[in-house]
This record gives sequence, structure tokens and C-alpha cells, in this order.
Amino acid sequence: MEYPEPSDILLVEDNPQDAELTMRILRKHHPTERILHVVDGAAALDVLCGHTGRDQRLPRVVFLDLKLPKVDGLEVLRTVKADEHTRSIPVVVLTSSREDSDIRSAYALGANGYVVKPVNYDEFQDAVQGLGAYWLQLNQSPD
Amino acid sequence: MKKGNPSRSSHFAAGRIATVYLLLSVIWIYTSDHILAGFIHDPIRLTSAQTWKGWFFVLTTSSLLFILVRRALGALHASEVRYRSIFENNHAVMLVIDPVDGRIVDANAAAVRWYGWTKEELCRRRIDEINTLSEEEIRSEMEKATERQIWHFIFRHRRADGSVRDVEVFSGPVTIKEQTLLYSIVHDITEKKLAEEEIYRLNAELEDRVRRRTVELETVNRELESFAYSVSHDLRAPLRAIDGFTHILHEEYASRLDTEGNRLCSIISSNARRMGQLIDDLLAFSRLGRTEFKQVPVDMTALAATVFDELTIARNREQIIFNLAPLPPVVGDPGLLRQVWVNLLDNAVKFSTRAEQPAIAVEALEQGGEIVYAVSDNGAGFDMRYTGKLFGVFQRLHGEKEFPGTGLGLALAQRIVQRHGGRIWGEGVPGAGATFFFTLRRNEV
Repeated sequence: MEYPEPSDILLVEDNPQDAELTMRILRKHHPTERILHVVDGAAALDVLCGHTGRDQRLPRVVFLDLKLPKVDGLEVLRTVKADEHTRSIPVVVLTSSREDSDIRSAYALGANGYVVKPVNYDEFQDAVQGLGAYWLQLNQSPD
Repeated sequence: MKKGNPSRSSHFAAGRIATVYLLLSVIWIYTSDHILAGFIHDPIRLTSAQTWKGWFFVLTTSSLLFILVRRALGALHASEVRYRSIFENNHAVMLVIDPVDGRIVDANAAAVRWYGWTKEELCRRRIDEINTLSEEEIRSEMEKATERQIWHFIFRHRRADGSVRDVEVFSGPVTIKEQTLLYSIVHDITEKKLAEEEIYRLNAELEDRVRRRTVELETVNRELESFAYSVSHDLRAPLRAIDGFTHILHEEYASRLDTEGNRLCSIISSNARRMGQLIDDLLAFSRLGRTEFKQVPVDMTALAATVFDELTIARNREQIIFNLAPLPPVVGDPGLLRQVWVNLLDNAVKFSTRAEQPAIAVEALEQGGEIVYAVSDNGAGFDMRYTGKLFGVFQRLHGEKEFPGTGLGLALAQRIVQRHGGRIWGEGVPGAGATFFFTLRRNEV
């Protein structure tokens, strides 16, 4: 199996339009960071926990949608946070759901952030840009 | 309560009468003999006078005795007749039982009618042939009644026709001629008991039905929740795409679009955003029925003032004459009540912007058990013919261009007020302003 290129940002998003908009904004503001986009939870787990070569570089941040095909976002979060090897990767939930139950579950499973995608594009742009600036520039993660 | 044996007091009374009689007789015989001896000195005449005196004494005392005994016996008889008739003619079933062997000593006419045996038949029976309890149990219950430990019993009694009835028995000891007997007043409670059982059954059925309904409601509620969830998720994403890509089109291809093209782009954008707002409002509306409902004291004056300040930061607050009277506090959910003020004051501000001198007044009055709050403005007002539409979901009385809004504000306010047990209504005159009223229960805060 061919391993994907090591990346800085892992975007887990099944909606192609949302993914395109998100990546557009991220590329615009962080042109040097590599972005890997996967469309379901199973693919995300493959990238993060699926390979045996533990020395491979892991993404610096994961932007995770909740409603995903195959394995849903909360399940991805549970698996990532249960694995000692991947636990320290910051996972930010980026979703349309503002349901209290989702927010509570995500934090209970160890999410590092929870952002509701605004409908308004200006606000959406601000949100994604802010996330990029915080997690890629401001925040210090363990190596 | 009189204590002691009634026969002892009659002994005492009889003894007293006899003593008085003895004393008076001795005094009479002694003194009358002396007086006669003083008057008559002839021994023969004295003897004869004493004989006459003796006859007179005997005659007088026997007359007195006759009167006394007749009166005493008459009173006794009358009292016996009276008490007998209370026993005999009573509509309550009464038995007199010998607690030693359980034999029925006496029974009244009501007992004869109710049990269906003649009095003679009844008096040949023992209580254990009537009471369904075992001999042992009956003896122990009779003991309790004799010793006045318990006077109220619930038994089952057999009747002549073989039927067994539930009875309530009031029983206690009564002493007749040195013998302690038990009187029992028997009351048929079979029907009452059946009715009680029916009530229990209906109650249990009702509880069961409520439980079933609750489960059904919970299911519906869960479905509603999942519907709201999918609405929030599935409807937002396409809107974001519409707004986002229009934006990109507008930004990156602006040079290739003419003015009209750019105008069309902004129409698409603003509509997508408006629809996003609608969905958010609708979700807030549906969430209202599912969230927990708090009951705490709420300072309505402070709440209305804060909300007005927040709503008017962007608009020009100085231009509006805002008159806030002191409002009585209530017990309710502060977050929800805040939403009511937001919706009513936002409308007042919105619809009065075009007035020459916008004026908004908030006041309240206490009426019976409730408080009526009123928010009035001198704005656009509305035609009273359309009051029915005011509180409907997505119902609007003004054009979107004239006064923007999603048509959910008043529907939301109504739902909140109703959840607090109150009412909401509006009065308006086109072009002259509107007043919205809502009532809340007055509680001791």
C-alpha cells in the first residue's frame, strides 16, 4: 500500500464544496503548508493510525467533520484519542452541527476544539483563517 | 364519661332513701309518743290514740311508698322502651353478642331484614357462622372489642341467601345484668368497596396510559430532534456552498462581470444568508420545546433595559424616546423571557425607525393573579384584520424590503409566553403604532 505524502493539515470532509472552500481559504493564507483531504472516517483512520511505520510524520492538526461516510467523526476522534501514538495530534471538529449533544460528546472524547461552520461565507472565511493561524502558527505542538 | 357500675349508684340511692325513712320514722314515733303522753293522761285513751297514730303512720308511708315506686318503675320502663326502640327500630343493622361463646343474644329488625333470617333463627346462631373469619380469629377480635382496644372492624358476613358481603362493624362492650355483652353495628360496604376498587383500577389504567403516551411522546420528540439535527446539518452545507462560490465568483471574476452581473451575485449571496438565518431561527424555535425549563425569579425591569441597550447599540439610541416603567418581577426562565423582550423590543425599534420621533414605552399592570406587560411603539403599526397572522410561523405583515425579518420572532415569543402559562396579543393601527401585551402568572418572588 502506498502511504500518502506526509502533510501538515488533515482535512476530513465528505462535502466536496465545503472541502473546496476550506482548502481555498487555507491555501490562500498558508501557501506553504501541505493539506491532505480525505472524504470519510475510514480513510482518516488509515492516514492516522492505519500504517505500521510509526516513524512517519503525522499531521500537525486535523480538521474533522462529524457526519461522515463509513466511520463517523466521533468514532474517528475516539480512535485517535485512544491511541497513544496519535493522542497528541490536535483535532478540531469543524461541522455544521451546533447540537449540544455533539459538542459535549466531542469534548468528552478529547477534541481540542469545536467550530460550527457558519453559513455566511465571510464568517466562514474568518473562522477557517483563524483556525489556520492559531493551530499552524501560534500554537506549539509536541513533536 | 361516667365511670363505675350503674347498679352501684342505684344501691346507694336506695340505701339513702331507706336511711332517711328509718331516721324520720324513729323521730316521728319517739316525738309523737311524747307529745301524745303530754296531752292525754288517761292510759286507755292514750293507748287508743297511739293505735290510731300507728295506723295513720302506716297509711301515710304506704301511700308515699306507692307514689315513689310507681314513679321509679315508670321512669325505668320509659327509659327501657326508649332504648329498646333505639335498638329495635334503628335502620342500622345491630347485633348483641355474648363474647364468651359468640352466641347472638339479640338482633334488631334491620338485622333480620339484612341477614334474611328470622330473629329466632338469628338468635340460634353463633357469630362464627356469619363471620367468614376462623373461630380463633373471631375470638381474638371479640376480645379486642370487649377490652375497647379496637372498635372499628372490617369483616365479611354471610347471609341467609348464601351471599357474602363486606361489612364495617362498630363494636364495643355493654353490661347488662352483670353480664358483659358486645353490641355490634354492622354496615354493608360491599358497593363502596367495589367503587373503591373501580377507582383504583381506573387510576392504574390512567397511569398506564400516561406511561404509554409518555413513551410515544418521547419517541416523537426523538424523531423531531433527529429531524432538527439533519436540518441543521444538511440545509446549511448547500447554503454555504451557494454563498461561498458566489463570493468567489464575485471576487475572482469581478473583472469579467458587468455591474448587473455583480448585482446578481450579491442577490444570490444575501438570499443564501437570509435562508441561513431562517434555518437558525427555526432550529431555535424547535429547540424551545426540548430544552429544560428553569423557574427562578427574574428582574423584568433590568432585563428589558439590558435588551433595549443591546438592540440599539448599532442603531441610534438617542433618537428613540424610550420610556421604561418599573416592572414587577416574575418567576420563570430568564433565558427564554429575555428572548421575548428581544423579539418585542426589536420589533418596536424596527417598526418605529421611520417615525418622525420614534417612541417606545414599556409598562406593566397587575390584574388579578397575573401581570400584563405591554410594549408600545409609534411605528408602522398593523391592520387589526390580520391579528390572526401575527403569531404564525413565517407569517409576515410587512414586505421584506420594507422591514426585514424571518417571520419567526413573534411565533417564538408566543411559544415562550405560553410555556410560562401566559397569553400574548397585539393591538395596532396602521401608521400609528402597535402595542404588544403578554401576561405572566404572578408569583411570590
